[in-house]
Amino acid sequence: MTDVEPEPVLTVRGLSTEYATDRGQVRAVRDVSFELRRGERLGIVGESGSGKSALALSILGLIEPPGRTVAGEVWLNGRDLRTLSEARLNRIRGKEISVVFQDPLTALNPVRRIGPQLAEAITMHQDVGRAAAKQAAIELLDDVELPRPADCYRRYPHELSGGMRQRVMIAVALANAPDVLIADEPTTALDVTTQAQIMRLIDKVVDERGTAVVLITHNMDLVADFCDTVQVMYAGQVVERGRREQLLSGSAHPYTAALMVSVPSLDTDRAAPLRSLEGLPPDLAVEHTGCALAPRCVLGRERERCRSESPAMTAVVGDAAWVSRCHFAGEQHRLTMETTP
Amino acid sequence: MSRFLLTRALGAALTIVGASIAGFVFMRLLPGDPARLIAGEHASDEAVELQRQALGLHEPIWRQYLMYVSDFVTGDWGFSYSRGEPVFDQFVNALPATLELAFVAVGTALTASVLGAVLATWSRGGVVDGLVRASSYVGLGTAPFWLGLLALIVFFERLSVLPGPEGRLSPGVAAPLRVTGFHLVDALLAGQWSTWWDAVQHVLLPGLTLGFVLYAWLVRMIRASMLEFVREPYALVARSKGRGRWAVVTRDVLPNALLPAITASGLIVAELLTSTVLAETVFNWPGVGRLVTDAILQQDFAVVQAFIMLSAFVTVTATVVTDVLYSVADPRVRVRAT
Ligand SMILES: Nc1ncnc2c1ncn2[C@@H]1O[C@H](COP(=O)(O)OP(=O)(O)OP(=O)(O)O)[C@@H](O)[C@H]1O
Ligand SMILES: [Mg+2]
Repeated sequence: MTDVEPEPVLTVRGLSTEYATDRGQVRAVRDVSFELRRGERLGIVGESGSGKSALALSILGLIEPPGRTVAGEVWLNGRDLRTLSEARLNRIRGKEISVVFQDPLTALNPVRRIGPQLAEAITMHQDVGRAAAKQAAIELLDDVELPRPADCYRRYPHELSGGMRQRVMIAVALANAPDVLIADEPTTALDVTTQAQIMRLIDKVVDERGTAVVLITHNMDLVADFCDTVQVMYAGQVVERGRREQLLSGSAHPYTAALMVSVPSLDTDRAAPLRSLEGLPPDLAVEHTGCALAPRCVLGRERERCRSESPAMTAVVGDAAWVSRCHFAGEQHRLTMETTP
Repeated sequence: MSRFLLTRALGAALTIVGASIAGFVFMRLLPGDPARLIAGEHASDEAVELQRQALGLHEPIWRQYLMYVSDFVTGDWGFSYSRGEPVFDQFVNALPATLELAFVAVGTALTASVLGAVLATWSRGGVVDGLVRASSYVGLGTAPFWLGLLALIVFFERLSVLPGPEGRLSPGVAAPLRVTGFHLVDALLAGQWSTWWDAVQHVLLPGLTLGFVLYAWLVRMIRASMLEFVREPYALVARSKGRGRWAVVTRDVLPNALLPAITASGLIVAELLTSTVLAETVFNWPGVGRLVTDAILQQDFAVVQAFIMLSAFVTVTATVVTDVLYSVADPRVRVRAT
């Protein structure tokens, strides 16, 4: 390893996405920017509804009406996906960037066999014959440690357990050895033992291929185990980003600090409210002034500046890679250091 | 699987028996004396009484029913006094005309509704979707006979591009040698091109009218389930693999959406039965529907009775075939059925 950081494979700039609802425009992703370097593992955490999935779909260009990505750039391997035609995007999705979704039970087409659903991911992007694609698919099923892969190839989705189906989905996502894998809560729908197995599997297969990963999760333990960098989202915005150790031990944003103490280590109850934060996340359909967290924030509730002035992303302690969207980032950082054992 | 088939077949047989009993009793309860009708208005009481004996009307009703059924399964469907022909022969002659009409109607309806539903789903809320929905409302909201009359007024009276309600062929055109009973096929087999073209022109209006009614039904149903399935995660997964919107709709969503349509095809057959009767009447089409409406007007009970038996048989059979088809088409059901 050299000291020079590898160049970014994915660069997101100013990405914003809105959904049209009966209550008006819900801005689910707000001006999100970040870089992902080759082989990097970025964790994205945040409460339910903070816009994590919307961000993932926006990156892939798969926001469907009534939603629309209204602004931003998504640079992947040197081109801005937002400016490309649908036809060109179809050649990039699944090949250079792919995704594993949360619920493996519904992610496979119930009336089609597993094998063809995997093999087509290969034939769509590689110029190979049917037999070769089938062979490659069976090898992939073997790679994701499914027992008797040739037999699995002929099975229907309902004949496989949730964990096995998620293995299939991982095989689908990695079929063309993409540069970027987005995993949107890949283990949330699985039981605890299976969760651990699936994470070990993802760890292994991305390591072999050098794939950069965006791991979306509620589970701080997963972040601690798996990720190099962490990005925290609140109300559609990124509120803090930094290296794993920095955020886990010395967070410089009140929301991150609250997440650290409240998220149960094994996240089964997704709806668990954040203990140290009172109230609910803001209504994304109305524009608010000041910091989005202010009404709930221990630090900012009483402070005029937090209520009137929207904070910008600022470096926390000279390290440009560690940024926080808080007027009082330094104060929060000291607070966190004092309170964490 | 064989147990599944057996229970389905048994249930179907019971349903047919039930329907035939209901139909039989109903026909007996209708006002009008079949013996008097057959013997004639001015026949003597003795003659009527003789006729009554011949028909077995003195027997208890359950006995009459059993006799009727045992005759029915051996092909003796009674005698139609209004046309002076055995009922069975009448049906054999009328059936190909009806089936020909039904094939044209179902063929166009299936093609158009699948295409319409796919286009609608692809455009989701767009102009094409709106057109498909509008066409479906028109088909559902208009009575088939009225549609038929409208089609006649436009294409026959005004534009004169298609023949009027004169049956399967123009007057003076001889029917092709009967092989299948379908003029469209028999004319081809005989190499009679002008007869074939004449048959095509004649089947067009009734076939499309009937087809449109079915299309309206089908497209509504398929579109609804497609719009539901297109929001399923697997559709999104397919997109994330690099598949285009159109291909996702046709290759991932459509096969799932057709399953509920298969389930409904029993209902479609029933709908087809009633609509055919109406369409045949409007277009003077010499099929089973016309046969029955004529028989009803003439109070020719034997024909109506046979039609009730046949309808029950066809509808129930269609439902069973549907179930079996469904269990073959849906891998999730297939497992449970074995
Ligand atoms: N199809 C949609 N139509 C309308 N609003 C939507 C739609 N999808 C998402 N939203 C809104 O966008 C916001 C962000 O949703 P998103 O699914 O990205 O949250 P999330 O962080 O992934 O939550 P979770 O942890 O529950 O998966 C929410 O307020 C949600 O209501
Ligand atoms: Mg989500």
